[in-house]
Amino acid sequence: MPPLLRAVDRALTDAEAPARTQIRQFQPAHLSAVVLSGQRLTAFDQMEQMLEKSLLVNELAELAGEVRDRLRRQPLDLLLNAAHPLVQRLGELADPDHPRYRLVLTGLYYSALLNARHRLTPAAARQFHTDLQALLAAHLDLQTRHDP
Amino acid sequence: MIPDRPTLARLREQAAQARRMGHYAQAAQWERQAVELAGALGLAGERTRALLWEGYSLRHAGQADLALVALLQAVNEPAPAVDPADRFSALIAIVHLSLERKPARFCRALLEQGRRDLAESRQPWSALLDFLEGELAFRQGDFAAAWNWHERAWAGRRDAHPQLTPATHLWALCRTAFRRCAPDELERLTHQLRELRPNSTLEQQLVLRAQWLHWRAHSFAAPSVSSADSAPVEQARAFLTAVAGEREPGDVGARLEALRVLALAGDGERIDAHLRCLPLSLDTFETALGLGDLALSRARATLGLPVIDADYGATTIEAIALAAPDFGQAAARVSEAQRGYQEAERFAEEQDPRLETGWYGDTVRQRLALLELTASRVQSGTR
Repeated sequence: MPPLLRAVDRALTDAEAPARTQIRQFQPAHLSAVVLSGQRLTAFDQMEQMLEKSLLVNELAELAGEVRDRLRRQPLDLLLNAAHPLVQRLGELADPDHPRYRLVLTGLYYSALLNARHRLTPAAARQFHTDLQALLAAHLDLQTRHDP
Repeated sequence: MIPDRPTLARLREQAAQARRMGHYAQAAQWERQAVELAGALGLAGERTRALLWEGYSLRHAGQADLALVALLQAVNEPAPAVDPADRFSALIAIVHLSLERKPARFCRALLEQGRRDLAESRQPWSALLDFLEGELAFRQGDFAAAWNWHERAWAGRRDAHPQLTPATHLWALCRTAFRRCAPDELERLTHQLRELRPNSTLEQQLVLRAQWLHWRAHSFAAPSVSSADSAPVEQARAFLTAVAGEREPGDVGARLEALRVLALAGDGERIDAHLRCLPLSLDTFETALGLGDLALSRARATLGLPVIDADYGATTIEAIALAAPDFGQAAARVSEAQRGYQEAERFAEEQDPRLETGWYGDTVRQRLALLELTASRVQSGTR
C-alpha cells in the first residue's frame, strides 16, 4: 500500500472516522476525493428514508433505527483522485504520516463528505469544524510569517 | 438486452439455483438485480418477493443487517399490489433474525404482532409463529416448551406459501429431542428427515446433522453399538474436508457438530488439521463452548480418560488413566478449554438477561466443573 494511503487510513482512524481508502485516477479531475456508494450506503439510505417517512411502527421501527445506526458506523470507501494536484503533492511527500499533515489528510475525507452532502453526520460535522479552525489558524500563522 | 419479465424470471431462477447449491452471497446478488429490475418494470409484487428472498439469502450469507434492510422493506410494501404471504414471510424472517440479537420481550412483541395480523386477515398461517415460539423457547433452554411448540408447528404445517420446509420443521424437532435426551424420538425423527431426501445443500446438511446427533445420543446410551456404526464418523470427516475447500464454508453449527463426532470417535488429529486449515473464532456462545468442549475432550484423550459428551449430558468423569500420559500436553489442552469456557461465560452474561433465562450460565458452570476434575488429574500427575 502506498505511504499516502496508509497515512490517510491512520489519520482517519485516529479521528474516529474509519474508512477504506483507495487511489485511482477519475473524472472530474477537480475532485480530490469522493466517497463511493456501495451496498451498505444504499441500505443506509433506504433505512433513513423509511424512518423519515415513519413507514414503520413499534418494534420494526426500533429495529430499522438500530440497523441504520450500525450501517452508519461502517467504514466508508474513500477514493482519492490521482489526477488531482493536491493528492499528487501529498503523494510526493517523504513522510505523509507526519503529524503536520494530519489535518490535510482528514480534510480530504471531510471534503468528500461535504461533496456527497447527506453523508456528513453531526459527529463528522463537529470534527470537521474543529479541524477547519486549526487549519485556518495554521494558515494565518504562515501568512503572518511572510508579513513585513 | 431490454430488461423485461423473462429477464426477471431468469434472475429469480438463477438465485434459486444458487441457494440450492448453498451459494447464498451469489443468490443475494441475483435477487438484488431482480429487486431493481422489478422496480424499474413497476412490478410491486415481484419486487417484494425478490426483497423477501434477498433478505433470506443475505441472512444465510451471514449479512444480518443487510438482510434486515431488505426484509423491512418487504414487510412495509403497501398491501394492494403485494402478496400478503410474502409480507408475512418477511415478518417471520425478521423474527428469526431478532432471536439472535434482540431481547426475548422484543421477539414476543413481534410474535404478538404476527398473531394480531393473522387474526385480522384470517389467514391460516399460525404454524410459522408456533415454530418461532419453539425457537425462542429453545434459545431460552426450555426444551419441553420448545418441543411442544415445534410439535404443534409440525402438526399445523400447510403445504402452501407461506411455509417452512418439512426439513426445517423436522430438524428443529431433532435437535430439541437431542437436548431433551430423548434418543427414541430422535431416531424416529432422523429417519423421517432422511426419508425426505432433500436436494438443497442446506437441507442435506440438516440430514447429516440429525444423523450426527442421533449417533452421539446412541454413543452415550450404548457405546459398543455406536462404535460399530462408523458411517456418521466417515460422513463427518468427508463433510469437514468438503467445507474446508468451499468459498462459503457455511453454517458454523454444522462444522461444530461434525467436530464433536470426531472428538467422540477419538480422531483428534483430524480435528486439529481442520481447525488449522479453517479456524473457528470464539465469537459466539456456541462456538466458544464447542471449542472448549473439543479441547477438554483432547485433554482427556491425552490422559487416557474415557471419552465423554458433555454437550449431551455427561456430568461425571470416570477415573481410568493411561500408565504414562503426556501431562504437559494435557495441561495445554486444559488451558485451551479454559479459554473457550471463559469466553462462553462472557457470552452467557449477555445471553441470559437477553433471553430471560439462566441456561447459558448454568451450562458453562457445568463445563467448568468437568474441566476442574480433569485439571486436578493433570495437576496431580505433574507434581
